[in-house]
Amino acid sequence: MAETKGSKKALQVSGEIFPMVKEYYLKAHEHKAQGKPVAWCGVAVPKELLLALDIYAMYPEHYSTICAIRKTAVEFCNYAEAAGYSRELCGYARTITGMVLGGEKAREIAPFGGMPDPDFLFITSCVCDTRLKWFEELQGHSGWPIQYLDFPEKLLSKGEAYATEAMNYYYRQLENLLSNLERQLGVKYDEAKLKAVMDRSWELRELELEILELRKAAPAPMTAADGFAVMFPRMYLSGTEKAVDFHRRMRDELKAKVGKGLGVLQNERFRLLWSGIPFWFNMGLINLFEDFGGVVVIDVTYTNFFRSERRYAEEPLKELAYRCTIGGLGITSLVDTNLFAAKEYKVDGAVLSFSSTCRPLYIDQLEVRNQLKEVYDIPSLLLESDMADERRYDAALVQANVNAFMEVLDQRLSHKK
Amino acid sequence: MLEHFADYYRDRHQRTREWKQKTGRKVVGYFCSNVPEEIIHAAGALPVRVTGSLEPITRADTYLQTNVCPFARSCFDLALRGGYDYLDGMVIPHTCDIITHLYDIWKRRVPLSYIYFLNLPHLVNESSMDLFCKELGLFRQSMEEWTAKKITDEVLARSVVLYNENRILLRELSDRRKTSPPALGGADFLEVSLASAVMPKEDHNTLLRQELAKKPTPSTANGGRPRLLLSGSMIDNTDLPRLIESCGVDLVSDDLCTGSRYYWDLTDPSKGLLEGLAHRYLGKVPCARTVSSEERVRRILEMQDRYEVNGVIVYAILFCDPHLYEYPLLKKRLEEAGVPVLFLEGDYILAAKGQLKTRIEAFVETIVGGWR
Repeated sequence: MAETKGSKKALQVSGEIFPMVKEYYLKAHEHKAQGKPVAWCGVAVPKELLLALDIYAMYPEHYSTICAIRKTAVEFCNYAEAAGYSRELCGYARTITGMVLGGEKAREIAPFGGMPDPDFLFITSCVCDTRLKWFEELQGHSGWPIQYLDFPEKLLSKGEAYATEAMNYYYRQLENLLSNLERQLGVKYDEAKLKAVMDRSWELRELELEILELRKAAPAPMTAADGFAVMFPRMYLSGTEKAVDFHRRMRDELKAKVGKGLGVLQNERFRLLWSGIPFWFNMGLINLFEDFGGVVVIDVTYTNFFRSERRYAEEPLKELAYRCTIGGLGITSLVDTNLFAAKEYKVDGAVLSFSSTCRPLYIDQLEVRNQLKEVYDIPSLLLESDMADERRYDAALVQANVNAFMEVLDQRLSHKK
Repeated sequence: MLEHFADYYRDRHQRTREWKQKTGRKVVGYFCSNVPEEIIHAAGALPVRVTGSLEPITRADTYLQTNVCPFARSCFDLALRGGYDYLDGMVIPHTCDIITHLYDIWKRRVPLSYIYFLNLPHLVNESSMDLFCKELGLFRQSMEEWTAKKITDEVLARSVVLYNENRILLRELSDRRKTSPPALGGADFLEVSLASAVMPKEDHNTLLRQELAKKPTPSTANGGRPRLLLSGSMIDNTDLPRLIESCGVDLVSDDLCTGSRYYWDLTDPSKGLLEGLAHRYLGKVPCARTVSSEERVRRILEMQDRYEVNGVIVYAILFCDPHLYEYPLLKKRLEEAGVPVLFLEGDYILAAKGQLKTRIEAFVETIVGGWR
């Protein structure tokens, strides 16, 4: 595979994603033009609250994947590096910081006309700490107001006493945030509105769990290529009727396929999991395994396999704090999540994409490899690149590694027979 | 007298083993300067800051990629090789992503009877102080359960006094660099500070008092050399400070987590025991991991004023995200305040000493040139 390319999807609904994404970015400009507030947000912020406040949320991380796909990320990274940001920093951060620092020149090539300037930046330390620094720096360059949401780590290992305090801390921060936004932007908090959004978000979560069950079928009815594509409504449109409707139809399509025994490959020889952020500029890599009879049946990194234990349906702000802390955690360790997925989805091998500038998510990757081998004797393929900056991608090396890995799986299959 | 500090630090692992054998007490390792050692000390254990080594990595490669902080890899490698076999427990704080994630790997691969994840907020405000104070309460409780011994307020208060004394004495020693030429070298001072983080505080205080009782030895160096401040991420040996000083400068101050960020701020006992500790450890001179880069600049400028600093060298270890993110605006703000800045990136073991020296010398030339 000499060139990078987009992925092939197995589901019809996946074809709706690009128009959905495009519409989302174009509507952002309309929203801004109408004088309505726009926020640039980290991916794990409580989006339902923004939706209830009619604040249009833009997600720089997602936008940088668009830049990677549209091949503008490298130029934006160059602007960031020229300003003194190390090439070892997160590819998303360099892309977006570079786009901001690149000014008009960057805006000319930015996909969808770029993201409208925000009324505020909104970032949480959930997922990684470095995003706090990233946004802090963005604020320093731009002067845009910023709201932080501190997320205490490893709550499952800390015990109930601390976890409850952490949830209360998060709740106090939400109250403070509301008060700041009401004062600065004139938005009004409507509890009934948030409740409706949280109800839809809960329904979406239930549908997601159904879908995860259906994905266990053999042959696999969809691949991680679909998984990464359909992430958009789940991650970024949570709480909207659009996201619920999409997932209903996705669930129905999967049900129909599974009912008829239809899979991505009828002769599915190997089931693989994908752990890690994909290389957005070359999503076609996921389909490469199909040439060998392998299907990437599940993508682990952005998937939450567990349901929240409870709701606080009549107290939507409290429910939000609960879901964002204790309730949304499931297995928090990347190692344990991969072990869980490997068993549940009966995988034969793991593809561990290793993004060299995303240390928080990848520090555990070698242990994921080690534990999959030690616990389940599952071999792993480590593929290294950056998630947005394709200068680090070596196509020939990747192809060679994939070939060698699939040979290993083939030999193991032969021995089993 | 300073060689006592240097000797102890050089032989710290063996000296800690000897201490443990002699006292029969426990040793608790910790990362970073944000762990309230006073609580460990009050529990009767010796807190020892975990540092790396300059030996090649041999075991850690199986568990940690090469593009992860080389300091963290070195520490973990040393532990896997048995270099920390004297540790009974470990406290790993939520400081940067790498140290945070090291918790799970360390727990799995370097089994200890006690390992505690200390959650440290990123924000510094009333609400985060309240949470951190509650966390310290749980930490104290966990140490009590592990040692099967209550940590009374009285004992904890005594530990607070002891540690504050150490900080006051270190500040006093640091201030010997206010003169021109300074009565104490920067690398020598760093060695004293490094020793503080691994020695019993009582012994370190005794040595400090003895050193401070002596009249400062006049420096043989000429006055009027450029006076620099070294800022940055983890430096746990004196190679870089000595390299800097070999370029004809005086290293008179620092913004390092093994230097002033470790000892400068005192605990205010009037706030209450745990509240005082929470305020001290969360509100102290910030590391880049804390959301307060403007505060960090303010503190550096305070040091610049106190020690009459002519320039700042900012040093980041490869792959150190917090410091690498913060650097461009840190440089801009310092330069706007009239402070020349040199950025150096190193691999922790300083493999490229020659290149670093060339760049430092060129920087010194620009400072001296600015005077002419």
